[in-house]
Amino acid sequence: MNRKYADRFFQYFFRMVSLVSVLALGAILIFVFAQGLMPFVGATAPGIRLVVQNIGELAVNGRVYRNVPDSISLEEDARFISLRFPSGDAGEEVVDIEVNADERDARKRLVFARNPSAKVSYPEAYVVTLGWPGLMAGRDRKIHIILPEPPYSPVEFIGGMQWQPVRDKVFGVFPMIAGTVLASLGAIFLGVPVALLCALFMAEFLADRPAAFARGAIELLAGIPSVVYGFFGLMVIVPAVKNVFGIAAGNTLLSAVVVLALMILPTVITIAESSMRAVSLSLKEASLSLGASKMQTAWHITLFHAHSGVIAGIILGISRAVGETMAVILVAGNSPQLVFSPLESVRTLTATIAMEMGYASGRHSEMLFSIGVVLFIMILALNSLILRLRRGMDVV
Amino acid sequence: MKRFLVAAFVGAFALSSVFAGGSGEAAGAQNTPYTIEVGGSTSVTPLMEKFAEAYAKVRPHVKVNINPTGSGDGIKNAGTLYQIGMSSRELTPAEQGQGFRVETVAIDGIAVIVNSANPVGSLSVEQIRDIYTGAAGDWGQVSGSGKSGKIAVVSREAGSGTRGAFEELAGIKKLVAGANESTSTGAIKAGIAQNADAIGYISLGSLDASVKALAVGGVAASSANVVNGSYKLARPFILLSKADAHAESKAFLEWMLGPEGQAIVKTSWIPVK
Amino acid sequence: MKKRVFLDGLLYGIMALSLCGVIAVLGYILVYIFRQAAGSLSFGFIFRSAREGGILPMVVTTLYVVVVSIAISLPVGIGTAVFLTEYSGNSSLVRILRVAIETLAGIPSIIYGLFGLLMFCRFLGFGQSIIAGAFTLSIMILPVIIRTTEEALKSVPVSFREGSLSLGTTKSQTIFHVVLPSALGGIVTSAILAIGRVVGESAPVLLTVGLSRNIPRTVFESGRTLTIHLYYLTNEAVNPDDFGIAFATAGTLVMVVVAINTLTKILTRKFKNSQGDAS
Repeated sequence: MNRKYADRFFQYFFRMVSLVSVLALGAILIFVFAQGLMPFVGATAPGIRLVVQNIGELAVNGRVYRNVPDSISLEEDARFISLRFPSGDAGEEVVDIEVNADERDARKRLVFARNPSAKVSYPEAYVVTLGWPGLMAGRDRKIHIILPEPPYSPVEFIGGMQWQPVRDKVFGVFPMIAGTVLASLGAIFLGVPVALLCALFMAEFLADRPAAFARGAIELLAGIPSVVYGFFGLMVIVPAVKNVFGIAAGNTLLSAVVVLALMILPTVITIAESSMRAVSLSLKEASLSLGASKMQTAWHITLFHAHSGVIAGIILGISRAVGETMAVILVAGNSPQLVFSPLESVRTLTATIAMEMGYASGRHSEMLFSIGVVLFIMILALNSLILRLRRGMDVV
Repeated sequence: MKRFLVAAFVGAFALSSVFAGGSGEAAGAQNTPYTIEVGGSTSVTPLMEKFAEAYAKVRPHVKVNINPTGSGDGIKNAGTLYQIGMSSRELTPAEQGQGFRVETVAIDGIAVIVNSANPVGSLSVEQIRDIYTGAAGDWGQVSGSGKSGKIAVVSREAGSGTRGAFEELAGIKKLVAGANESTSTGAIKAGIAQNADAIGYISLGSLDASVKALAVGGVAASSANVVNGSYKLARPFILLSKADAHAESKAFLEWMLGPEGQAIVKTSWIPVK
Repeated sequence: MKKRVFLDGLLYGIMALSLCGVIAVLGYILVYIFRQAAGSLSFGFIFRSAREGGILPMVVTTLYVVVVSIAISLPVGIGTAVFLTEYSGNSSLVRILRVAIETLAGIPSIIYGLFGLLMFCRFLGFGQSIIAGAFTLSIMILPVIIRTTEEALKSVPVSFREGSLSLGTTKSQTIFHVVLPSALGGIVTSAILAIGRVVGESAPVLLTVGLSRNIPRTVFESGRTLTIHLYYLTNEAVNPDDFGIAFATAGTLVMVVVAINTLTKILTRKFKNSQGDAS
């Protein structure tokens, strides 16, 4: 009896354990999407915030702060900001500001009722700083008025050409999407023909021992960490590109393409070769007996019948190139511009995430997750292609 | 199989006891081991590593763990993940107002660097601005450079403290498209050391013989010139902490700002006291 | 006919050339790395602390990350593989599970890094630490372990299971005493493959484990793995001899990868042989 319960227990146990993968995928989707969609849904803060430096006593909209906190949040629908604080010579500084919430241009949203004695500056988008000379040198009195950033338009995000995350707070990722696509396609054009020649040669013409040796070498190529490729690219390929083409810097799309092509070779070769080996012998024999040469058989029969496996290998290679990060950072130059020549500096989606994560704050940081979402969707599309191909292969 | 499972369980227990040991360690009296987590700017890191090395001799039971992630991360996580956050730029308005204790520990110049083979010796601030905004794209357009060829402009990534300070001081509003962006001082140094057409900027403290530092407006990039105010490209190294920090991390902070710490600053940077 | 022979020969030459080219590039990368590393690489290099120019802290951190992530991932992966081969019919759960595993396998590693940063570092409050990185990586290697283990379980002959069941044992007893032990070789292979992935991974480790250079005392501390050390050295290169150390680290990594590849191959061969004997 006990044994029966144990059996039941283990059945449910294994089922529960297997759910971990599903849950993990769900968690990844929820966390990354929730964070990445945030900038498009809501404003960065409910209302205007004031950050005060070196001012001991301050009245905001009639409310007096004796120990001024570091930051003061105004009500959400505040239409008016009235600042009063004692100036040095027993007088009072008075600043009255109207908030024009409907104004789309953030710079024009604050209207000063009369010219304030303060120096007004715009250190970054959505921030207005009022400054008075301090009583001591280096102790300037400042009030920063931080306006909430409205939800960002997804169209401007995907289609935007400018990536100026810090000062202007403009987040356009189209150049990076283009960079990722160009680098991956370039790697495919350069890498796949070589990979297919190698795979066909290994599957059809090499004897067992040399084929095993070649396979071992290619597995080693697959096992080298991507940072090593990037480092190799930085020290060898980047200077070579600079010297061959006589350009100012060798950190270019072309360097990234060469490194990525090297990195996808093993993936494509391994998958293509195993699907070529799976082509049934009788097909090849039939072809040979009809008088076709071994080479003709290899190209027309083996390659043709292994095509779905070959395509799956290519797509897997693309997804490896799209997802590659560290190697690309080291060789691509990382300028967020739209490129029209392979000899220009280019930046990919993944590079942006890894480079800027440590430095980003606020919406900039959320936007890096939004880039992650874009990447995710690209990869999911590629994956569903592979799944469909697999299904096709099973039927055949 | 049973043996395998048993081994797995034993392993799991061993690990969990390691976890328990980890969480029990934090609080303690005078000389119990303590780890101070420090994180943030990669530019401040070389200085912090020197601090940590010297402090290990002063208080051997205290370990300083340095996480060179970036100024933004250092500011964001100061007082939570890191007892001490490092930043190589002034805080932005949005980052202020979180109750930080902000201490400037050193002043660092920003050196504009070129390849040793480059004949250029000095540039004005305007010329630097022209190069970085794209108004001058060729060394031939830079008067007095005695050199021609396209300029390879090298900058840091958006959000970097060095880049923020450099762009503010040189008045650069928008970086020229096509400029290479590197994630760190070392990558820029290595890139410029092997490229005769390149120009970049790094922390004065990280300068070495592999590249050549330019004079800016005729003033050589040196600590002395930063101190007397004639060399304008300089920014503070800032340490951030919260008032409720652990006694050991407060002591470390005081030590860095004190005479012993400032003597270390003096080796490559400019002390504040 | 002559033209045909010529064309065949030409194609043969091109194919041979491309394969030789690929292997030559591989050889060049290896030679380049080891020649540059020659000055710094020594046995002691691995066991010296970072301040003395060694990589001991990185070796320790890498080991920590490997052990913890395998300890988390292996039981879950084996459990899932057992469910898929031994219990599953054609239910919708199985279909969802298969799609989930395929998708997990295709997600780029940087996305795992973002997820780990959000979930383990921030949401669960681990901060940048070995444990956060290990959790992240353990999800990343799950598909590798599940697939390889599943292959191994499938290759256990049905006659084994039938033999055991006919002796009156229950299904779970059969699994624990017959199926899993016969598939042990395949399971070990899957673990080694997963170790290889963990050792070579960089982007998610940078985001979740951090960069701290000390020898970690507990798994709640931040650390720096070998790949991240290599990345950081190439980036920072504060000292002139850092490039030598970077190459030596790269060389160490390549040797680890070679060792793992060789081990996998030996085990796979052994495992196949023992299967052959049994059936």
